[in-house]
Amino acid sequence: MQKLWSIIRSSIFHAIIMYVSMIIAIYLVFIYAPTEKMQGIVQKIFYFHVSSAITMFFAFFVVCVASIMYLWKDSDWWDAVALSAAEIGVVFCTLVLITGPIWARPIWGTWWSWDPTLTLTLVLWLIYVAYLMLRIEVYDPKRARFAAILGIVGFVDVPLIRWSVEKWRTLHPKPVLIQEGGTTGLPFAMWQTFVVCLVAFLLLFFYLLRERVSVAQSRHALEGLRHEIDEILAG
Amino acid sequence: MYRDSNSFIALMSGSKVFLQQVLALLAKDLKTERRTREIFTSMFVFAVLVLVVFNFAIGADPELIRQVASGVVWIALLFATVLGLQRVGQLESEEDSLQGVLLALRDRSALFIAKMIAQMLYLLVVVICILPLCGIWFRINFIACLGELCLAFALGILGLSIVGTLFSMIALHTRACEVMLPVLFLPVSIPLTIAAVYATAQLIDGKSLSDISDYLVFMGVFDVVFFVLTLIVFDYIVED
Amino acid sequence: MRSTRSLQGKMGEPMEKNFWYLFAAYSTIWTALCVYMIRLSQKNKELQAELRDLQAQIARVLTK
Repeated sequence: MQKLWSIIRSSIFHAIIMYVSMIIAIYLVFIYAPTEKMQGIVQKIFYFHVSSAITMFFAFFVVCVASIMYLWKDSDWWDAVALSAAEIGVVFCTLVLITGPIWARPIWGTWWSWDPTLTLTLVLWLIYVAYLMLRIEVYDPKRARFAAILGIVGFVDVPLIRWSVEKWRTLHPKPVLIQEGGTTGLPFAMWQTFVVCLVAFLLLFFYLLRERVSVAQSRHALEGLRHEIDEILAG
Repeated sequence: MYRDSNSFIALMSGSKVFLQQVLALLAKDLKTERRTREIFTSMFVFAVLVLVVFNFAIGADPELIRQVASGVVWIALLFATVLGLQRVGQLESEEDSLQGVLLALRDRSALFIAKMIAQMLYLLVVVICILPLCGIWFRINFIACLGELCLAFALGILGLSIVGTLFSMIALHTRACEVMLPVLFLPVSIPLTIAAVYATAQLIDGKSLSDISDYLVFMGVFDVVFFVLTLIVFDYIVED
Repeated sequence: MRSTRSLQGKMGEPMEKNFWYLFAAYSTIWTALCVYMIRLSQKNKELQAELRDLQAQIARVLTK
């Protein structure tokens, strides 16, 4: 039983189920899911676009929680989790910001329509890129603390940004839609596909998180070792 | 967690020592400013420059200028806030006075509140000075809605001061602090900017207080949320 | 391979053009993820090299 549990927890197992779920997701997206009548084949971007968006929000939520835990427990592991989740979150955020316009262009005729959710994503991108910039300095206990504060502040800001961007949006005329490309009232097959895509993306997120955290921790350990050696050599 | 409950208790019970410390810090900053007038001058001049340059950039159409006036004023205020905070930070790191102040304080959030109030006062003076200029250059009648405008500006300036002070204390510790302050401050304060700009714009357009009430409530919520958040995390910023 | 040139999407644009958007979106996702994962592996390699470096240093210090 112990052996089974250690296999399940291993990195390889994680990589395998992530890979398999992604393959299944791709199959479902391209072959199983029906092509939408109005938008045509471009609609299939939605599966990975929205999955990326949800994963991104989840990543930033993890940053917030990890930042709070770091400030509370003062543990390097939580700091590593916060940094890694932020980095991966920015990657997914960038993906949302790129696939969004690619989807919008054939549907709405413009690349960017200041859609509230996409605008929220843009602002979050700015905030978490600032988070990464804050971190780029050499490892210093205080630096991690400031980043943790930004991690919390950034996420708390999300509902505020969302409200204000939606209000702002109502003041601007929407672009003339070529198609009303909504995702409400999805047929069941599309829901299934979407859920599988979301699961695949979340597994991917956790896998990347795992790897990135281990890299961060190795770096911390190495720097600790270096300091020790310097001290030994000096003293 | 014990620390921030201390700040709350101190704040809520209006502890005499706490208030005294806040006022003492505030008086010190304002006295320095009154002598040199450095910070106010740089903020005011910069805000005026922003107004003028925008005027040229947008073009000669008076109707267009009138429509964007509110946005331009708040952009000027945003940049003035960043500039003012950077100057304050610079002055303090030159004198290295922060450590001494922190040692003397029993409750460190007094420092945050004092700085926040100081920044608010600077911005308030800047606003009072540039509003007549805006009225003239952008042909806006501010007098008609002065009372409501005061409320909108007060809430907005409060929010800018809170968020600005929070990030200026963080940015001070980084190497590229001139870059980090705006990079941190501007995105996070976007909601406030949006609400302030459109509240002001609608007031100028002649709408009444009830029309913009949701913007004002939102700004109030924003201010409260960030004030509380900063009080909670402030100890983590300044302690060693 | 079915000819797609004759198919017309609702928007009157040939379906082919929309395939390109779909391709662009998915390629971007795959590229970004690959770039990130390659970067992670490289960081890992650097860390391994540093580790070997440090171990050599320790060995030298110990033998002194």
